[in-house]
Amino acid sequence: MNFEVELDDSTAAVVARVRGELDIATTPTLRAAVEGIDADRSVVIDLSPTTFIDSTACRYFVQLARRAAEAGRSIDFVCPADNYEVWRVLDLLGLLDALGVQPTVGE
Amino acid sequence: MSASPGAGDPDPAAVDGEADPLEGCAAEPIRVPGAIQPHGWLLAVREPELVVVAASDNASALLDAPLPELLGRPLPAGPGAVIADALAGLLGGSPDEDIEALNPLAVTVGGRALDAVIHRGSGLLFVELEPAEDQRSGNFGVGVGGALGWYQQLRAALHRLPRASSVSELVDELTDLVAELTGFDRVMTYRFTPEWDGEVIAERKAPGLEPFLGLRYPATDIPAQARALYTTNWLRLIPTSEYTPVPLVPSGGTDGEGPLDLSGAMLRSVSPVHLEYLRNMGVAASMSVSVVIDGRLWGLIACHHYTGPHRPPYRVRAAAEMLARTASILLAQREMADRAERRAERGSLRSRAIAAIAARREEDGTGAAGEDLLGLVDASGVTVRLGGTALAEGAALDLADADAVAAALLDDGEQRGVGATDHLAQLDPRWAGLAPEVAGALAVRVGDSPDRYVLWTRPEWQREVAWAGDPRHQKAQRSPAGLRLSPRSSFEVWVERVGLRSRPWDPADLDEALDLGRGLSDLVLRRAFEQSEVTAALQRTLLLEGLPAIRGIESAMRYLPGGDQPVGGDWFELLSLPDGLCALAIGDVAGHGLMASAVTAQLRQGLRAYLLREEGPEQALARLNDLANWVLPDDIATTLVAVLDPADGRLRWVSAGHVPPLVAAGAGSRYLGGSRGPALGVRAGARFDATADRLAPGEVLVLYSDGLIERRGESIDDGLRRLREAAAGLPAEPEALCQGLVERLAADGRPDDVTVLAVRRA
Repeated sequence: MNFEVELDDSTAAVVARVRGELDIATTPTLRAAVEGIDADRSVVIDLSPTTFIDSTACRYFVQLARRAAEAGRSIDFVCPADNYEVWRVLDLLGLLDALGVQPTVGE
Repeated sequence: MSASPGAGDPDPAAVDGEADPLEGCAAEPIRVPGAIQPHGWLLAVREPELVVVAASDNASALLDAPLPELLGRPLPAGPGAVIADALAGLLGGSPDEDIEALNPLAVTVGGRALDAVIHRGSGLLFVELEPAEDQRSGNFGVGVGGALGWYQQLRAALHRLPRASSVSELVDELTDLVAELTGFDRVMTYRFTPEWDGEVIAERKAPGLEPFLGLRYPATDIPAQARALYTTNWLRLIPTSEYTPVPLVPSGGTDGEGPLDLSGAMLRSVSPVHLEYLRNMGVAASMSVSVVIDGRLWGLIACHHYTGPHRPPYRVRAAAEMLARTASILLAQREMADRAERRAERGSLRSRAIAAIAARREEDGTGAAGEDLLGLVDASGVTVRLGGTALAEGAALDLADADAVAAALLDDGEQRGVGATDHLAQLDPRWAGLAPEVAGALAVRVGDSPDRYVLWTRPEWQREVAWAGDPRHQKAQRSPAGLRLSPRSSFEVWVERVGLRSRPWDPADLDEALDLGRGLSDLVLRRAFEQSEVTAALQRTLLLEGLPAIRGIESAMRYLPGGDQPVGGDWFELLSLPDGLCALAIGDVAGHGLMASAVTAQLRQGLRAYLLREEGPEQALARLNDLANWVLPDDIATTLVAVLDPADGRLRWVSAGHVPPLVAAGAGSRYLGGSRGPALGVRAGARFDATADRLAPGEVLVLYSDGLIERRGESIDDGLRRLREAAAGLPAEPEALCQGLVERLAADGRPDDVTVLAVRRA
């Protein structure tokens, strides 16, 4: 089993580190993890250790970003360009700009 | 035997670590030790004359007569007569239970107040004597408040026990009561699993003692023959672990019938190995009481004393035994009630889970069903695989692993449709790598298709155990008295045995899985029927039966649905526009099935209208994006639109997050470069820029969905490279090109739709 969402609560924002393949089978796990975070906390979805994302995952990101914007909550996405397989999918779909994907987890 | 709940069962392995524990214990003659403990006296007499057949060596001092004179004769005058008188009139033809109900008989021999305890066995009457103690002078029978007699305590206890509302409360209460009653430094209740491993589930201890609560022990700690003895003999006592056994005379047994069976004797001497173990542990006195449900040893109440010898008098022990017997009955009732409650709870979890799956939209994942599915069989992960749709919750496996594990579990030759293991690594050594998150799995088939199943997983068992500190550093402690063993060494044995294993699945889990599988199977069948007509209608709308004939171009297409869904998220369009132009479009909506198809239909109709009305493809796509954001806010879709002038090959194309168009021209095959906007639905108001290009005569413009190139474990660029190389090796003719690309690139078992649309100027 390669998929895992690790929640790092040690910084101002809760960082959800997504390890493994994020697809139709595993996106619900990420969804559940994010839904478990207090609604008043900022969230960073860190895709640095993610090895694959499919369209279900991308659709979820868009939904997540949209809901967060509506709720006035900060949700950031992180994916460095050297995680190329994932970065390229985000690039192709125009999600790097739309989601404001950052290369690293900032403070 | 490290935890030593039993006070008399040897475990050589715990002491020297060399002997095979099973063999060593099986060989130990615990029923016929040929000796008793020295705090009492034993006489085995034959009724009705009370002829002494055997006696403990110390009986000569008590009865004031040499042993040779005692044996083979009725109990002698003097002290012996006192005992005989006490028994007189009680025995006769009384059944065994009735005479044991008389215990203890008070006798005074040589000025000493003794308790005489009698039982029958091996055709003999056993009379065991031990000093009586004034209940008010010792620690015993002095409960809270100071002056309560043991019987008052017992009465209070018997009122307290039934008030417990759960098994754990009941066991806590029982442990407390036995501790209060008997005054041992440590009292713990130890429960057996079906495999006879054990766990300390309740503990009451003096301050300063290391807690043993939560520790677990392997089955070998209490071997089968000891368990058998404990099932009939409810209480064992060792008042001091420092004793020297008193031999029975004759030692060889009675009348050549072999050594005397002391199974029922309270004074039975225990294995020297066990005593050594107790001493090593610092245990000065030990007692254990059985908890037996339906004739099976359910658990033990193990009592240890550290501060010196400790001998609760017979009445107190009898009270402790009565508590254990009462608790056994209450536990049986409570467990039965719990099982009934659990069945009801599982039934409602199952119905809720099936209802939630039935109502589920794909993007909800397992949604509300997930927790219910996990709770149904106490699993930590679950995968629901219904053909091309897979839902996962908790610590679920990757789909590929889940498929493999389910196949292995369900292919058991018996075709029961359900299979489970608590040891995946044993099934296939590769699966050892799934631990610790996944060590055991339970699979049930849904219907009779191999790609429809539910698979639950459980983690490695030892990870679930509450650790009372890190046991690895506390195996042995140096003390002034020398090396001391700790029960934790036994815990390590247990951990080793359960390594890579999960908590086992019980038959009720398998039954639940089967019921859920049947429920889901009905659901799948019903849904397939309901969807078949709708699907067929949608398919006609979405997928043209043939491409329209458009003047000036030759075209071909291939569409292969992914997974087992007849309609996926791909769509394409080919239509002629005013001024002799033609438009080609391709799109891919995230997801599969009816939901994706419905989105597809809306986008396709929208694009047609905009292409006919707007100036160019970039405006059409911008409008389509606004439509998507407006009516389908939760969906995203990629789309590529190209407008071609067949007369001169002029081309304008625009992309919303879609893979780039390919121009196939043999060795000169190339991708069209240009700007790309975001996928539809990502950003309202997004702008799309068109790129102009030219399609030369003989060149084929190929639009395709990412299902043609996408593979896990590689980047999209690798897939693009593969596609261009494939195209370079194929004739630049639409029909042959489509066929060749699909044959070469569309892998069997792909999850995604594959669509290819190829156009060439005629």
